[in-house]
Amino acid sequence: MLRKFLWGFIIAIFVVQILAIGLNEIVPGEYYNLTDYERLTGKKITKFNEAPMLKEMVEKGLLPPIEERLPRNPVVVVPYEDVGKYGGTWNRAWYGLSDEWNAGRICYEFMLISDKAGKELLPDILESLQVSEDGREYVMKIREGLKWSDGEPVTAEDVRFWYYDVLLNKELTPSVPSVFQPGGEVFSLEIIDDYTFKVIFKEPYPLFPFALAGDGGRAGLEFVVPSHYIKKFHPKYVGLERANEIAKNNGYNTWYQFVKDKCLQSNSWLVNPDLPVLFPWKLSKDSSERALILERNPFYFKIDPEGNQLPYIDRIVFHYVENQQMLLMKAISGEIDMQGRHLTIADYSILASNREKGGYKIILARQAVGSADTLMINQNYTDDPVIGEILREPKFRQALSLAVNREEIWQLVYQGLGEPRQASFVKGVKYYDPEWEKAFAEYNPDKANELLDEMGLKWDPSHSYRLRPDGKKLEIVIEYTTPTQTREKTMEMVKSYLEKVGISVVLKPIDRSLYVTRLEAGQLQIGVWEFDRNVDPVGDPAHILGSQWAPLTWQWYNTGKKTGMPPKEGTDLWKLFEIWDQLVKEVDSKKRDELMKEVINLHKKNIWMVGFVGALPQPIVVKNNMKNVPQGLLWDFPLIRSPKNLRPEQFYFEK
Amino acid sequence: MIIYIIRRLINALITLFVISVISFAIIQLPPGDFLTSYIAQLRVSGEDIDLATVEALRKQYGLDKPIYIQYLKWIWGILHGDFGYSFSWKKPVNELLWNRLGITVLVAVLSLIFSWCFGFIIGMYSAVHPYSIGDYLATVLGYIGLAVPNFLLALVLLWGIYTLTEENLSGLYSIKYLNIPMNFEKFLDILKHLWIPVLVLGTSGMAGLIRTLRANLLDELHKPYVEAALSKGLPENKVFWKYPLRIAMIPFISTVGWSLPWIFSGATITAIVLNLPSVGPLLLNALKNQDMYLAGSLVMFLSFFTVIGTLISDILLAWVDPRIRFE
Repeated sequence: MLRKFLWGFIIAIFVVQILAIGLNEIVPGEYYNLTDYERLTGKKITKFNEAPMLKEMVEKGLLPPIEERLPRNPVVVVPYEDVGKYGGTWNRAWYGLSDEWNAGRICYEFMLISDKAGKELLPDILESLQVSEDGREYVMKIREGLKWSDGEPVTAEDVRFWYYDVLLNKELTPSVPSVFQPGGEVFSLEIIDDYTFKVIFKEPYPLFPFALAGDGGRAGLEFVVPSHYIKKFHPKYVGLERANEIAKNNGYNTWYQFVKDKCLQSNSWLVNPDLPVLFPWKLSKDSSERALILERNPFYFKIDPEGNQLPYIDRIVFHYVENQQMLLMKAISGEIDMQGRHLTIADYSILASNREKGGYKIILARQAVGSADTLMINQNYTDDPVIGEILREPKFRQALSLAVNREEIWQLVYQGLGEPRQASFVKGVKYYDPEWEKAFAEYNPDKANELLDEMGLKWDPSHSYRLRPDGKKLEIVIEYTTPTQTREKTMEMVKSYLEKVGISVVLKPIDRSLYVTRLEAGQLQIGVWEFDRNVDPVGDPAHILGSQWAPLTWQWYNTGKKTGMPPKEGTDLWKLFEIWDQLVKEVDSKKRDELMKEVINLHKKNIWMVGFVGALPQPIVVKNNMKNVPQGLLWDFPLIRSPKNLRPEQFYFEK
Repeated sequence: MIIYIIRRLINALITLFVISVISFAIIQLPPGDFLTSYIAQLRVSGEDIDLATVEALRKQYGLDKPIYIQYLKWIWGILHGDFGYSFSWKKPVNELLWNRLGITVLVAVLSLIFSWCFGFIIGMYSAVHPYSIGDYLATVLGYIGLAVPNFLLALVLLWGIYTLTEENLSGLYSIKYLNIPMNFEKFLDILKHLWIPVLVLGTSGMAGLIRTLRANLLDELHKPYVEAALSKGLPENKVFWKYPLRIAMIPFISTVGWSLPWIFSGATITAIVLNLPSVGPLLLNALKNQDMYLAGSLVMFLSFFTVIGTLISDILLAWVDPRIRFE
């Protein structure tokens, strides 16, 4: 014990808080530890209050009093407009379990959470996080007195169990996710006391806090899992025979299939109402296939500045719909209380014209999408070597970009909503670069022709198309899926522009899963995807490192440089990964920003992605009586996980 | 007659087996599997998933095994009443099927009754009174029923009702009756919603029936045996019911077999448009997601109904038309 204490002391001396965790002023829509809130405002919160339905249960002795349900240092949420009232049902629509993030983006809590714009990380399940100077050691403290939704305490035992019995269990985790093993080695864990533990990496891992904030789409299923519940099914605690027997009785072949499905997958909490969670709402037993119902978690750890426990809204009902048209029908007939998911700007006019009938308003967020339809020019294409060479030539990509009239697409396809721009980071995010936004984005077919001539792509004798170096007609295949009505139209226009400079184009709309299969095999010449996730390029670099435009190289990078296609030495692609290798290890955030600039410069010059129109508004339908829903925020995934950055737990209904 | 039925039954079993093999193979034909389309779906909605996780899942669900093993596992389960596991719903296929079968059968039976009653009456009327105003009206109605796609009619109805009454009549009942046990009010609400699919599905079936019955009856009515019977003094009614109508109904009956699966599968688009919790949309989604056990089981169900339907119509035919029995 004494040794442990000493250890803690030594760490406390050497550890420096280099992360700006916690904000230094009071901002609506943000999260504060109660202690920080009191320090910043000089106001003390001494009395706590709860929803009437919970008060009733406390009086009947079914629940412990509110003071015992909240952690010692709860999170204070500063409401966007004003302190709310309890009650009501929030109706939404979803496509069933495959649409799990419809609920997940509202509910998930992670170790840390992003502020609403994705610029700083705030405490969430963790009360504090300290990082050693070399970026290798992280001391994390869970909120003391934090409780699972079934009332059991959250302690370091949950962490220990997760590390040894889930993460290092070969059956539950056949391969450890890359975020937990930078450089190929899993971190080691040290439990300091009931609420504190230390995570030690072999190499500096300054991007680890992003992983803790739920990056990459993982569901906050790490570090704290409800061990008291999972132990009931884990062979280490009940014996292999019993564990397998339980699984069999539930229709599974093995214990680990059962445990994974019911406890450890991102949608487990939506199929297993008994699974304890830390979310504002949890699955209700009343759920059915037609409607998923979430009800308030009586042990939720966030309060408003007047000491009222959140959430304000009693329950959320997700009504099952077969398709987007039906969702739209529900929205315009006023059956949806608040929803942005699955609505696009193409629906704006029909939503707007039914506003009064449906009794709702439309608020707009700004999508952090650099370009909605983006040509992803495959740098790994080898099926036709001549085309492959052409696609790898920067001049060709620049010419493609210059040949397209973005203004016209913007006006005709998007009715002037959003902005015509190159595929680049949007305004309002950390790494926005106005030069990249305009790089090769003007309409200049003469310059495009000049570049193509320089490449030696001659016209055919009748001057109707260009010829490849081997004398054949130059023809490029663009393959895309059709998630929106706008993509098809945009691509038709792009085709006609490119044909004017002599590049003949074959458009091929294909099914999503076929697209993914072909993409991952490196078989697309040019694919079309959204350039989204602009808020967090460092934590989630998939797009800037080529998951769509150099899929085999991205695979190479992602598999610890084992499989896939390494970039050729000396090329810009190679330089990109050189810089990135430095960046992920760089502890100093200023130097990291400089390296990020170099990455952007490479993109500016290479135009691996050609974008047209981006920064589109995201329409959100909000019933007139629903309050505290803010306007004009960024809309993105994964870091800010909209609408989580709108802070759903502080939405409320005015009667 | 019994031997005839037994022979038919054996044929039906063999057909079902072949169908099961073919359908399972066809579902597997597109590249990738459930997980590929799951990833694709996640990506479209902005999420991502670790590749290592995908591999682990693939193993967990047995998707790494060769297709014939997957097939054998599935068919073995079916023989034991277990239809496998739906990946996209995370539920045994059984549960999903039974949940939706009730509403599917209800809509199917109601629209079948609708189309048969009206088809029969109008068809007879137009044949007996050819080229009258009533006949022309019925013809126009029939052509409209045939020509307008079901889903379009459904959409127009929904939209029309919404603009007139500001009520959304999609689905099976209004959202306020969700999770409320059946009572009189909820029953009324269901009736309020149910007539749309019944009308939409019924009219197109009806149109076909009217045309067939009218054409056949017109043929039969002027055949010599009818005229002979009439000239011998048999009452017109008796002649009509006993002979020409019976013969005119043969094509009618021989297509009964198709109406069963048609109602299950043909109603898919309508059900999607109307947001009906029936089997059709389930099948479409299962196919899109390559949720093979679910898709396979549904295709099996459809085939089963086709086979049963054909069997019924064969037996009925043999009963109506003695010539067939001695074939």
